Amino acid sequence: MLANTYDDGTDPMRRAIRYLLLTIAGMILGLPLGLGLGHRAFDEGNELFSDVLALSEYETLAGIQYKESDVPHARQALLDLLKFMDGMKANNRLGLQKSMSTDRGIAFMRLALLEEKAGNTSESREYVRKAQEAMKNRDGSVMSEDGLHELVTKYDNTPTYKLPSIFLLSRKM
Amino acid sequence: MKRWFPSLAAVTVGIGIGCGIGYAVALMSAADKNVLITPPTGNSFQRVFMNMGKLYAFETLASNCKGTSDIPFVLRNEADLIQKLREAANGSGLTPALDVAESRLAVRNAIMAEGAKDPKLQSEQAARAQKLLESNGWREPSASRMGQVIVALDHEECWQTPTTTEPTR
Repeated sequence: MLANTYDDGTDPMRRAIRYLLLTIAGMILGLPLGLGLGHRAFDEGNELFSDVLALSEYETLAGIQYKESDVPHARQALLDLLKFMDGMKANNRLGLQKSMSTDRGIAFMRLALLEEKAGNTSESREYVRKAQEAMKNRDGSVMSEDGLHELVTKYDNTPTYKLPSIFLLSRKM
Repeated sequence: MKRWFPSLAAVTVGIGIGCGIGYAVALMSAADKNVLITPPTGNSFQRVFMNMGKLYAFETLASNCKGTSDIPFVLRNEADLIQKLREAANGSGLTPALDVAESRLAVRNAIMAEGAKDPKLQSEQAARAQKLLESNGWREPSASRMGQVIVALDHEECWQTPTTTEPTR
C-alpha cells in the first residue's frame, strides 16, 4: 500500500486525475482567450484585405473608363464608383472609410472637372464642394479649389488607374 | 517544491493548449470570411463586392509577373467571373464597367491566341474587344489601345509585386 503513495501520502492515480482536471479547466479558460486574440488578429486584417481587393478592381475599371472614354461614360463610371463606396459603408465595411476619403475627394473633383468641361457650371461647383467635404473627412483640413484642381490634374497625368489611397494600400499587400 | 506548484503548472499548460486551439479556430473561421475563399453570398451588393475582389485576384494572376501563371485557366475563370458579376450587378443598383473588363479579357485572349499562332481566334477576340469599347464611348476604341492599357496595368501590378520582373506574355 505504501508503494502506491507519494511521500505526502496521496494516491498517484488521484493526483493524475486532479492534474488532468486542472489542465482541462485551464483549457476551458484558455479557449475564449485564444478565440478573442485570434479574432482580433485575423478578422480586421482579413476584412481590410478583402476591402482593398474589391475596391482596387472597382477603381481600376472606373479609372480606365474615366481616362479613356467620352464625358458621359466617364461621368457614369465615377458616379458608380462613388455609389460602390457608399455601398461599402452601408454594408458595414468600415475599415477603409478614412482612407477612402481621399479617393472619394478625387472622384468628386474629377466629376467637377468633367462638368466644367461640359459647361455645367453649377454641377461643377457642387462637386467641388463635395470634394472639399470628402477631403475634410480625411484630416479635418479644408483644401482649396485650386489645390484640389492641381492635385487631380497631377494625379490624372500618372499612368495609374487606381486612386491614390487604394493604390498605396494595394502596394503594401 | 511548493505543493501548489504542480497544480499551477497543470492549469498553465491547459490555458496554453486552450489558447492555441482557440487561436487556430479563429484563424480557420477568418479564412471563411476571405473574399478569395468564400463563395459569394448575401445581397447583390455583397456578391458584386466579393466577385470584384476575385476579379482583382485573377487579373493579378493574368499579369503573370512571375511567369508561372496558367494563363488559359486564369482567363477561363475570369470569363466565368465576369458573367457572375453581370448577374450580381443586376438589381444591385450598380453599373460596374464590366464591358471594359470583358474587353480587357478579350485582348488578353487575343494576345494568348497570337502566341498560340491562332490568327482566327486572335482577330475574333480583337474584334470583340473593339466592339465593346465602341459601345462604351472610348475615344480610341481599338484592341491596340486596350493592349496599351493592359501593359500599363501589368506594369503597375508587377511593380507592386515583390521579386518580380516585367510582365511575361
